[in-house]
Amino acid sequence: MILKKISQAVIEGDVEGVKEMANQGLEEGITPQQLLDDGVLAGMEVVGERFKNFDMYIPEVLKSARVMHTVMDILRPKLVSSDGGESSSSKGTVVLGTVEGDMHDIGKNLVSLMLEGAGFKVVDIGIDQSPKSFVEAVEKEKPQIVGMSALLTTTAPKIGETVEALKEAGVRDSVKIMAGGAVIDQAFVDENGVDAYGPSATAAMDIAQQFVNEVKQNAS
Amino acid sequence: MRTNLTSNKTTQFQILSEDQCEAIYHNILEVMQRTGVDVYHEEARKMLKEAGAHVDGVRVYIPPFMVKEAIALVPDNFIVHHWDGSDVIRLRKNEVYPGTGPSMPNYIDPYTEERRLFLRKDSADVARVCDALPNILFVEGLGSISDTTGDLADLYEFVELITHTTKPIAAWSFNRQSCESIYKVAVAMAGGEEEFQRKPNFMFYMEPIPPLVSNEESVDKVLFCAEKHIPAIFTPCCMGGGTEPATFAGVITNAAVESLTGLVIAQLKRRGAPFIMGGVLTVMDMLTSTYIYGGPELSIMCAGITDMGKYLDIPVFSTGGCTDAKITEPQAALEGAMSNYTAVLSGGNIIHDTGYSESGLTGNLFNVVMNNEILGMAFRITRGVEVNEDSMAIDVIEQVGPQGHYLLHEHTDKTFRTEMWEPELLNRLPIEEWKNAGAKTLGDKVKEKTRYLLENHKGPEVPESARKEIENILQEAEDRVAREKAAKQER
Repeated sequence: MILKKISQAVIEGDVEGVKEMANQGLEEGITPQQLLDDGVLAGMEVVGERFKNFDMYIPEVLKSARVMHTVMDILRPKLVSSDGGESSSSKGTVVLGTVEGDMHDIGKNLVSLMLEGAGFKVVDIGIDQSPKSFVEAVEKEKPQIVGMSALLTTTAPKIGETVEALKEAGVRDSVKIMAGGAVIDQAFVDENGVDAYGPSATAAMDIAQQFVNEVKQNAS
Repeated sequence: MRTNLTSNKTTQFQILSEDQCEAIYHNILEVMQRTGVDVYHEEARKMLKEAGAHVDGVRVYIPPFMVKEAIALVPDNFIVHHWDGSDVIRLRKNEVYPGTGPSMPNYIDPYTEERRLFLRKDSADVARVCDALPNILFVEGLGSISDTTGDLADLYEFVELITHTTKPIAAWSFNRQSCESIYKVAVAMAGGEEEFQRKPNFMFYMEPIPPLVSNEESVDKVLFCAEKHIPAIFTPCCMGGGTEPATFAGVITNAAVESLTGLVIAQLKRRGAPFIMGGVLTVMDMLTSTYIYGGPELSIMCAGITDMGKYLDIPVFSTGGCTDAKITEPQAALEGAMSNYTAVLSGGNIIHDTGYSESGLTGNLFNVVMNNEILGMAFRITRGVEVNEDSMAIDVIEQVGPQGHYLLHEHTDKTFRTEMWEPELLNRLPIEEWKNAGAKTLGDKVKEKTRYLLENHKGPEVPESARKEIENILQEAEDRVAREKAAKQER
């Protein structure tokens, strides 16, 4: 019953109500993992499905993601203590930024919110980021994925330069790279050594998911 | 003779009342002073500080008196000339000039109809076709050239545009260097710097970045324009719900703040610098995140910012004729018609973006030709009803009386050509004749006309002296870019 309520709170974006529900669930003796899987993630699955069918607006999806994070904050300490690791709380790390010379970031911000909604840890390094800053972020954060954004035809070539810089630093092969922005397309990423292009924030989310699955498969 | 007639000859349209304009104006002044704007330009920040703004890092808080001073200084009307002296456009209240839009990466090839990258020859084609269309009154290039030196795509585009039409160009550039080269080309076309100062033949377009940011390149360009007396269009592309508030009054407020920041900087650089406010005011589609070019939100907010421009006595850059449709299909006609008609009706001065398609990613020359027809219709509606003794035709009605007809009356012959609007492409034939003529749709006829103009309209003759100067300017620019590249590689 409470699991269903939590799912519903996620779908409806009820940030306040869900805290009480999560605590009630724990009091009733439901395991944190079950609250997460059958409550939160079950709700997010519906949200994702509805969004893909154009049955839910972006701000509503983002609100649902916020509900999810609210519950995760409550469950995280307990999840760690029960199984000794926090693997279930993050799907992977994504370093995200707008390339050098470009100050546009609404697309990047949207991708960031969507990825967080899907359970990724996002390190957003901001706008106007040089190839060097991307390299430094990769070395520091050790992400599985790097995402680059460019809106302008003038700044798009910086994506290629950043890929080159990652190669020179010897970290290119440790990550999957995705790119997006108004002037980016498949032909562009093919020419610039980028692994994937997403025409929308939803596509970026799917690509990230796919990357992580590939990494896991390769590891196993 | 009738006295005390209140003439209401043209169609009236206003989105914002005086009171609403005043309320939004006060909102604008508060945002500029309290929230502030980020100005990524040292010289500009220094000027703003010396003039009375509070500066903290890149954040600049501009007090109302500075905004009011700038508004008092900016000309409420000025003229941009055709470079051959054949005509002018007048930037003043309610004078409307529709035209095309700038710098999209893709282009619908007018023969294969495939979407492909934009080429240098396309710029010349766009200019020639616009040159021939009577309702396209200024020109932007519809695409960013992909087959020249990348850093000079802006300059090559301007050269192709200005040498293939006499209509004023609204130019853009990546940076100040190209802006300077473009100015040199315009000076060559004017026949010298002094001639250009007397008769400017182009406008320059640059964008602040919402929310509330003036980036270095834009400020660089607006300062150069002020210095050289080039009419500057300093306007944002607003995305309600994303980079701006979701409410229309909120978007209009921020858009005006973004433009007026440039205005204050321009007027500090040179009092009386010609300046145009406005922008593309629209929303993010909350299902797909697309920046919407064809929605009613764009039309209503562009009419709103136009009312603000009129309220402040500043010429306005408005938006119309654009579409989210991918090809020339009914959606393109519907969206182009709604936005161009609303923009014309509201009295935006420079109404750009005809031919913008696929939400700003693909230039479509067919849509320009189609919108030329739409604009003809819009102009006729906005011209309104002429009411005077002759047009009310009281004597004519008396003469013909019941059961007669007006076909042969002198009054009909004298008036019908100006009262009625004759389409060039819309179909009015009886169905048999339409079938016999090939059962062509509007789309078919638009494509035929576009190809006809491409094959038959040459555009203006450019004086040999100007041509030579332009060659030199291009060579200089190529040399500069080569030098910069070499220097960069050494580093």
